[in-house]
Amino acid sequence: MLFFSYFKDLVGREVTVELKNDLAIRGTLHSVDQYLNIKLENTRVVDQDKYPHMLSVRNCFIRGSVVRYVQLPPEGVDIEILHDATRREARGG
Amino acid sequence: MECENEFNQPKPMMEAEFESTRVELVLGNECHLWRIFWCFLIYPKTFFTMSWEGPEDIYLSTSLASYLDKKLLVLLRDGRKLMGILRSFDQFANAVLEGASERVIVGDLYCDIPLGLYVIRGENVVLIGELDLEREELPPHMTCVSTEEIKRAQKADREASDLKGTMRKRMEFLDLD
Repeated sequence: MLFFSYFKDLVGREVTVELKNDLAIRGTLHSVDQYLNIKLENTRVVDQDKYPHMLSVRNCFIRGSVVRYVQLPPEGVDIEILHDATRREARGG
Repeated sequence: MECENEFNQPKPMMEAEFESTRVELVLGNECHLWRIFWCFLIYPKTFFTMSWEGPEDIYLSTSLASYLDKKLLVLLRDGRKLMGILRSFDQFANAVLEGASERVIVGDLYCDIPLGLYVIRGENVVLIGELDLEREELPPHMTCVSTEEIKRAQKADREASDLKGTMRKRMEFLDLD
């Protein structure tokens, strides 16, 4: 549940989601759920020429199981908080 | 006369029944509690929707509910692109597409092959995108061709890539990399 909460805090930020099929999509994080399915808004594909069918897609739902990376804004990562939360979770709190 | 009565009466009776249900619920009537329990088992969603998920909340959640009855592009794991209107879904992203068609793209050519009603197993779904009807679906330089033509182009494309593969294989001994 840690990363679910973590991604919930990132809602509204601009992220790039790289999928296992190498498709990379940049957009505003709209929402996340327990499976880490992601909904993006105002999306654009990083390599648009290679994926012409994605041109008219503005909002999309990405299945959590196909995500390889989520690239976050640098200010969106607070290592201290994440570290504390991990230790708290490990202690079973 | 009797017929008219039958038509007129049910409504007030139902209201009365509803009232009594509520009263008995407060009193803890077992029979009604069981009925409510079964309703919960059969329609859990109704209860959740009623209690804390207002109809406008679907636009805030990750659920596909906000995409219902809209024209979508579904990208599958094998690279296929299906388009259609979302009629149903569940937590695994299993989806029902009405009026589905597959969009085949080969180079600058494309074709929409009509398929009908499709039920997609969730594990094959990569991405579900809402199509913006105001924007061009494809770049202007792409041309729509017939099914036969796209199949021919697809075959030629496959053969070209196969040839490329075998050429590479034959040249492997040269250790080009």
